[in-house]
Amino acid sequence: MIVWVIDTEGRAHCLRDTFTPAFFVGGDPAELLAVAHFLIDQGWSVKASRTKRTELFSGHSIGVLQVEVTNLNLFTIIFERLTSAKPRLSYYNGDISLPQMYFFARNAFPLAFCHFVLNGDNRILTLEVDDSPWALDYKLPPLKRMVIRLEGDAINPNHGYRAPLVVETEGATRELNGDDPRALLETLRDLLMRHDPDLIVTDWGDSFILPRLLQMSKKYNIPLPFNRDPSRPPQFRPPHSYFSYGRIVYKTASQVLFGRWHIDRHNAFLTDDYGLEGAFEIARLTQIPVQRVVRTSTGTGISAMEIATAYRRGVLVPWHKQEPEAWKSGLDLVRSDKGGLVYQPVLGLHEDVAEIDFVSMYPSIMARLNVSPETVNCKCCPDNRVPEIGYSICKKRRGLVPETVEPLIRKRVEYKKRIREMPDGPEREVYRRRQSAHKWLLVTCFGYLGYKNARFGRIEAHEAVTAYGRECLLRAKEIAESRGLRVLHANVDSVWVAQDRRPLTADRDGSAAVSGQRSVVSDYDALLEEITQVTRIPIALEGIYRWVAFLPSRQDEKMSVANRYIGVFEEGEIKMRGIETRRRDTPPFVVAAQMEMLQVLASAESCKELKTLVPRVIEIACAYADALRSGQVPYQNLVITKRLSRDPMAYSKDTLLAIAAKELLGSGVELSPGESIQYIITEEHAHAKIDRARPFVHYRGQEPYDAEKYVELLLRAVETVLIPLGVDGSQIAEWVKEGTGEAERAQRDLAKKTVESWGPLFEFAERAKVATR
Amino acid sequence: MQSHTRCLRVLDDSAYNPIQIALLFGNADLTRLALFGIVRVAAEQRAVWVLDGGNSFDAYFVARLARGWGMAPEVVLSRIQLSRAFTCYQMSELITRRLGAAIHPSASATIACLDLLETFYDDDVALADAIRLVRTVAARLGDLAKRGNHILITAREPRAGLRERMVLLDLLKASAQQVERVDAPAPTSTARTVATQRQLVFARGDLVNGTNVTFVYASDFERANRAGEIQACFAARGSGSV
Ligand SMILES: [Zn+2]
Repeated sequence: MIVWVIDTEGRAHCLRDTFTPAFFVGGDPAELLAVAHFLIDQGWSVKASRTKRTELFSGHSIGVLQVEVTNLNLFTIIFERLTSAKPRLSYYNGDISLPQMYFFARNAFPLAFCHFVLNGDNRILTLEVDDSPWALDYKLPPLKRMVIRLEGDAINPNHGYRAPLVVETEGATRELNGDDPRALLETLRDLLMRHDPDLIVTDWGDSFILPRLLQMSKKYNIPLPFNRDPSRPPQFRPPHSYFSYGRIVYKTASQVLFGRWHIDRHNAFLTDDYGLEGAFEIARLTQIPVQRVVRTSTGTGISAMEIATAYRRGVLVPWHKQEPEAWKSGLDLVRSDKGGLVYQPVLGLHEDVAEIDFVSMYPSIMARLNVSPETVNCKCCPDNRVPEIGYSICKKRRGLVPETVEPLIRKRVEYKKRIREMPDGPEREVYRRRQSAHKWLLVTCFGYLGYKNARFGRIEAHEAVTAYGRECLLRAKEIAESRGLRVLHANVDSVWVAQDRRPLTADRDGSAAVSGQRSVVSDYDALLEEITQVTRIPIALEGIYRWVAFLPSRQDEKMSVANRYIGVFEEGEIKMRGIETRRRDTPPFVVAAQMEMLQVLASAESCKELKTLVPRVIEIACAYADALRSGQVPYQNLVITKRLSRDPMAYSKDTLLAIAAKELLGSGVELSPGESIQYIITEEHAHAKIDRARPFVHYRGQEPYDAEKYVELLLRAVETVLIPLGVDGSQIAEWVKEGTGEAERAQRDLAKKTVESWGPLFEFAERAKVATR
Repeated sequence: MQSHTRCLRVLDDSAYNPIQIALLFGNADLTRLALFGIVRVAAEQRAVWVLDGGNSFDAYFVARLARGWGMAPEVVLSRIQLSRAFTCYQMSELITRRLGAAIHPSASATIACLDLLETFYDDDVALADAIRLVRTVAARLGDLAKRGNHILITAREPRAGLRERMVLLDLLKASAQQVERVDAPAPTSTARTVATQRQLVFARGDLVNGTNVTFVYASDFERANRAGEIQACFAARGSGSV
């Protein structure tokens, strides 16, 4: 195994370690003997021996054949050959990735601080880990960074965007001139060698920049030292689309480096929320190498942690999940196949509302109530029943999933506590990012109980968790009501409560009929304590809203829907769900407008004051509408991003998305289902379809955009914000009607990019296009 | 329904029923079609064993259908035994081992395998592996048929991009005496309307308290689309609990 280490001075070292991974084969003794003979006959360098390991579901120790593979490169090949030669046997631990298995064997993890004793050959004699994945504070190695991207907006070059290559290193940004391919390659090579980065961050490096540069490097025979390990080329994985939870997902290609990391910001599960800090935390916890962590979903992470628990316990990790659902009647299915409980919100505006949330509800249920695939429906604990569905849960055996998630919940609670107690600053931000990463891991750990690829998933465990969840929410609601509070809304793991009074009703003229006095919401501690005591699941105060508005459904304004609301906490922080600002397909311009309006509303201390702010919101709306109508909005702010749900040619109706996608196809771009497309609406009702919308990359800013269509989108966002104040859409449209702003369209920024040739980096792309044409 | 009755006849209760294995394939909602047959069997006081590879069994549709035919939904639902498989290994285990162990060895049982190939169309599973498993499954179903059990299978065709897996469907076709293709008519806008209505509003005495009660299928939002039906199901009953 090759292990790359960065020392305290920041120097990188390539070390070697002897490591013999093993997989296991289950079957009757005669079959296992036949396997051993088969292995000998093949002449593979393996060591096979009889041993005992624990089978997860039964908890029994069973006899298995342990197959140790001395040549790491042959591990996967031997496993594949054996399984296809003898497919009917049971196999275990065969598809755990080798780096992970290495970490398991050495009790180590990525980014761990270790002490090594080496021989003169850089071979590891001893490895001592002086670090813990559960440490709240830890030091990260000093990482040298290099950014490689295209100049300008981060637009997908695979869709035709062209710009010069830019390389950023500590303090310096260089634009590489592409007219001379050799010079470009040589400059880049020199930069890589001189700066020797530990981490290369790119925009579209996986799907475009690295593949193109490597093609060029091959053509001109100028090697690019992307890898620190010169013995191997970067590992390339082609793109593909697949179905997951009934929707199509597009996975772009990936370029993984050896000896340093490559992270493509456009192909990383690094949400703005947790960033690199969070990704490093996930790598430490899950023992998955950083380059893989950023490219896989967090679900893979929790699965890896479960595998680690299994490894520690000597529990076999089945290669294929074979255990089907136990037979149940149709009636049982109706009882058990449900999700979370929701009490529809009471529509409209409410003052002094407290939101209380169960802390990581589903993971907490698993941890506290011992719900795990192997503990559900055990034979030994008939008295411990899941409410409503009646499954038994084992009290004698600690579940594998609970054991995995419990320390994670604890660590997150600890970080949250620190965040609460600390002043704003970089350290607090680090904690926030780490706990946010935990949140994602914990969310997926529940989904994974029922998911097909979940190694330790089982549908009955999933059903038990949701049944307990419904029970908890129900109890919480009852306790709140018994304390004289009014439950306004409850949604799976959150409850919104207020003093018992009717909702505020608003008149058109903006005055509110407020009944009752403004209550001083005193102490919710007793409520929280009672709920936690009764349910055994911790619940915490998310915050007290000065006001919160539960918004109606888009389809029917009399119907309330869960997860569509705007609220302002006592400290002035805005929380919103299900509105335009939160949607991925809302143009940035509309997001900015809605945020500005919300900020104005957030200044209101009470509902009464809120109503006085309507004119200011309308002013903002008018200003934005004027900007649209006078053509002053930079076109980058009008871009709409949507995902292709199928092959572009399979769209029978010409939606704007389909039109833009087809135009891209026509220009030689390859598109796959699940991929995101960016476009600008040019003239929604144009006779010629191609004039209705243009792909963002083809839009140069000279042609007009459909101002009235964007005004329509803007007004919809205004309506969302004002509807709880009793202002409706037609009223808003009247106030924001045309002609209030400049009549003439102002001269806009013309496109900066009028150059047609962008140099050799794009040569291959252009050629590929010609070929597809 | 007329054109599909030949396949559903496999579910007829008769020792002289010449069809032992029937296969419905195509892009129609085959589960729904099969449920007509399944409910009919359950209404005749017979048990049905349902193996579901696409998580497509719709208990609320069964309830509605039963009520439409003047039966108590609980009674019909309790006569249906179900197991869902989420991987092809689970499906194989279910058919080759669990099914045989569950049904009575001498009595003739009615079996419905819904979306049988769904889990085998997973591109994480090597085609060779999938072929081997489908062969084993088909052979086992053949055995069960020979012993007097009646089996209805539904399977859709593989998606574009997985066309090489058509061979799996061919294997199933070869094992059935009756094979029919059923394709869906062009989609209408009503389907969309139902899909937007994601609520199941129902009355459960102690819960009502002035607030609507809704279940959201957090794990499977598609299921929540059945809102309209569920509502109808309980409205007809006045009140009840799910
Ligand atoms: Zn037990």
